[in-house]
Amino acid sequence: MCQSRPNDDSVTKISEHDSSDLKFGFKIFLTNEDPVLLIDSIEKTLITLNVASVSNVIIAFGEKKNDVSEIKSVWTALEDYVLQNKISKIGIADLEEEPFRALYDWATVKPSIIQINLSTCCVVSPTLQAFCKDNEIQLLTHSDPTDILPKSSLDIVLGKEFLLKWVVRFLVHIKCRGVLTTKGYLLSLGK
Amino acid sequence: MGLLSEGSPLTWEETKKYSQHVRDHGIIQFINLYKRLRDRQGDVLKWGDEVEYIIVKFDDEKKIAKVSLRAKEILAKLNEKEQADPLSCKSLWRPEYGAYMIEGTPGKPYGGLLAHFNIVEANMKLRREEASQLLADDECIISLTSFPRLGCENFTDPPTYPTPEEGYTRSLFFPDDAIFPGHPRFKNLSRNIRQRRGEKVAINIPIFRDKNTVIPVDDSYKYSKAALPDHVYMDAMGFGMGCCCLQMTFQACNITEARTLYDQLTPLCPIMLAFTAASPVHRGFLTDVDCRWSIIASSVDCRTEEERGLKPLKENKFVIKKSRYDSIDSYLSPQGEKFNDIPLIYDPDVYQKLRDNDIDHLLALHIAHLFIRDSVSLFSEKINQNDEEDTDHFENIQSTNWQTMRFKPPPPNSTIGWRVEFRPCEVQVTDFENAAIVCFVVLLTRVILSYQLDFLIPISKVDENMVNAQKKNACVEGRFWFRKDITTQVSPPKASEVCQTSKNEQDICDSYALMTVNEIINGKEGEFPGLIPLINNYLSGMDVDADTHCTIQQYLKFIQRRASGEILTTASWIRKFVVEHPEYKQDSKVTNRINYDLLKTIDAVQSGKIQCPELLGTSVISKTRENIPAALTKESCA
Repeated sequence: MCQSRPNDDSVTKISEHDSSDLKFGFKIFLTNEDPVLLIDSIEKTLITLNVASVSNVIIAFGEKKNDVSEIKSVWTALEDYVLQNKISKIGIADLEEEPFRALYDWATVKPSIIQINLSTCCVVSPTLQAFCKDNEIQLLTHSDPTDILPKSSLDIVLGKEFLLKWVVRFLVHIKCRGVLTTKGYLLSLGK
Repeated sequence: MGLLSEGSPLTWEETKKYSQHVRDHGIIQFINLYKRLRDRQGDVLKWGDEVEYIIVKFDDEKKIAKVSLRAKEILAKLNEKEQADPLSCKSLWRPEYGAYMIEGTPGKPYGGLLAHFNIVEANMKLRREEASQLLADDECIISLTSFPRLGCENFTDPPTYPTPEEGYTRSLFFPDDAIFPGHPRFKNLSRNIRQRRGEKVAINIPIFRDKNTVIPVDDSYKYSKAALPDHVYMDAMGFGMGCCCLQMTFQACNITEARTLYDQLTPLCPIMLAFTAASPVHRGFLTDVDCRWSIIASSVDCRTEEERGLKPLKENKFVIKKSRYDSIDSYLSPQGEKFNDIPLIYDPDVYQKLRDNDIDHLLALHIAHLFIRDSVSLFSEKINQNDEEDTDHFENIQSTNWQTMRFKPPPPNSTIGWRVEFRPCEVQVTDFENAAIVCFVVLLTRVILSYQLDFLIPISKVDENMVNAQKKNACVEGRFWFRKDITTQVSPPKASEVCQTSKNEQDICDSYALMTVNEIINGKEGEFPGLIPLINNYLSGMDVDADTHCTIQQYLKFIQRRASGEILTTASWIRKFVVEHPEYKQDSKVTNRINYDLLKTIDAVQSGKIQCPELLGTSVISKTRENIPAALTKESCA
C-alpha cells in the first residue's frame, strides 16, 4: 500500500520547472545489505517523482561498514543504474578512509562522492583529502543522524510495530542557482 | 560610486538646462530596454562583492597617520593587469570619491555553486595583497568605513588645504585636492550638488558627550550658520562619499525574481547596517552614532530649500522627504504592494508615460520616483544619444539615486541579467569579516528563494529601523521591527516546520514585532526561527563540499557571536580603543596619536600580526582557497 503525506506538493514543485534545469539527488538509508531493497528504493522514488534519471545517489548504512565485502552486492546493483544512464554519480556516506579506498579500487563504477558528517568537515584527514583530490571525488557533508528513523519514534507514530526497510531522501535543486526546490522522504515498511 | 562616463563635464548651469532632456530620454531609454529585456529568462546565479579601501601613510617618528593621496597612481598600475588580460585577471580596480580610496572587486563574478563561497575570502586577500605590493613601506591599505581624522588639519599626504572661498567643495575642512583627481565626475558632482542645493551641504552628527567634552565642540558655528554647536559639523561631500562600504550584487534568473529579492532584502538593510556598524569617529571626534549612513545621505543632499520644505515651492516641483542617498521608498513585487505605506513622491507625467508603455504600476512608480531627481553630472559628449540602444541617460539618474537597494536592469548588449544590489553594509577591518558578511547575505538570498520566505513589513517600519540602526551600540541594544511569520502560503511544509510560528496572524499589524539583532539572527525560542538556523537548515539540503562547509560554519559562528554581543561590532571596538587610550582625555577628541595607534592596530589585526578576540572571536581561520576543486568544477555552473 502506498501512502502520501497530505498536501504533498513535491511533484507540483518539480513540474513548475523545465526538467533540464533541475538536479535530482537521492540519499538512500539502507537497513541491510540486500540489493533488492536498494533497487526497490530507487524504483519507487523514480516513479513517485516521475523522473527517468537522477544526478547523484548516495547510500548510507545504519551500521558502520568496515569491510568492503559487505558493500559489494549493493554497490554492484548501484553500478547497473549508472551503466543504464539512470544515475550519473554514485557515492557513499560515512565510510572510513580505508574501506572507501578499497571500494574505489574494487568498483567498476568508481564512487564520485564520499559524504562525511558535518561535525568533522573541518578536520578531514589530509590523506583522504588528497585521495579525493587526485581522483576527483567530491567530499561532501551531511548532517544526518546515524539512525535516520529510530524504531521507537516509528512505533509511536504508527501505533504498532513495523520493520523499516529503507528511507530515501530526495533533494531537487535548480541547477546553478543554489535553490533547493523541494526536499522529501520516502520510506518503506514491512511487517 | 556610479557610472564613469568619459568626456568633458558640463557646468551646473548647463547641466540644469538639460535636466528635462536627461529625464525625458532616460525614460524613453528605460521603456526601450524594458521592452527588450522584460522577458529575459533563465539567468543563473552570479554575484560579486565590492570592497573599498583607504590608503594610509604612517609617520612612525611623529606617530601620525594620514590618508595618502596616491589612489590615481596606484590605480593606474592596478589596472594594467585588467587592460592586458581582461578575461582572466583575478581582480578589478576602480576609483572612488577620495583621492586616497580604491575599490576592488573579483575579476569575474562568483557563480551558483556553494563552493564559490569558499573562494571569496581568498580573492579578498589577493586583492589586498595586490594593492599592498604597490605601496611604499610606510603605507598600508585598510578597509575602514571612515578615516577617523578626515577633515582635520593636515590629514592628507602630501599636505593639501581646504579652500572655503573657491573651488568645487568650498569646505572649511575638506580640500578639493583630496577628491579623486583622475576623473572629472567626482569634483563635478561635488560642485553641482552644492550649486543645486544653493549652499554647501550640512552634516551635523551629535557628539558623544564624555566627562570633559566641551560644548560647543569647536568654533565651526562661528564660520557657518549651519553648524550645530553640540554636533560634529561637516560641510563637504567628501565626508560621506569619502567613506568606504561593502556592497554586493546578485543576478536573478528573471525580472520577477529580481523584484522579489529587492523587496525581501529591504527589511534586512537596517539589520545589516546595525550589524556592520563601523564608523563612530568623524573629523577627529567621537560621535554618538555608529554608522556612516546619515552622513553620506547629508553629504550628497542636493535638495533646495524649497524641496526640503523650508520655503514654498516656486522654482521646484516637489517637496522631497529624503536625500538622493537614502533608504528605498517602495517595494517592487506584488507581495510588497500592501506594505508601501509612505507617501511616494513621483512625477505623474513620467508615471503615465511608463504606464502607457505597458509597465506595471509598481515598477512605474519606482522609476517615476527615481526620476524626481535632476542629473547632477552630465558630459557634453553624452547629451545626444540613440535611445534605442543607449541607456546613459537612464543610468545617469539611476546611478545617482544611492539607495539601500538598487534594482538594476541588464546593461545593453551584454550577457548580464536583471540584478539587485545590496548597499547598506559598512566595510569591516578584516577579509574574514567581510567574506563572512558577503556569504551570509548571499546565503540568505538562497534561503529566501528556496523556502519562499517573506520578510516584508511596512516600509515606514523599515525607515524607523534605519534611524535606530545607526544609534550607538544598536547591534546589541537596538530593537527593530521584524516579521514574525516569515513562511508564506507557498512555502514548502519543511519551512513551516522550522519556523514554528503560528499561521493564524494574517493581519499585517500583527505580522511583525520588535526584535533585537540577536533574536533576528540567532532566533528566539517559540517566536522566531532566526536567520542562521534557517541557513543551516537550507545547507543540510544542499551538496556542500567539506572545506566550503567548514568555512561557512566559521563565518556563521562569527556572525552568531557578533549578533549575540559576545564579540564587539567594529564601531564598539573602535570606541573602546579610543576611550581606553592613555592619551584620551574624556573629551571626545581623537588625537593624532590615538588615530595613529588605532590605525596601526587595525593594520596589525587585519594582517593577523595580532589577535583580536574581542572583535573577531577565537576561530577566524577558514578553509578559503583560490580555486574550486576540480571534482566540483565539472558541475556545469562553475
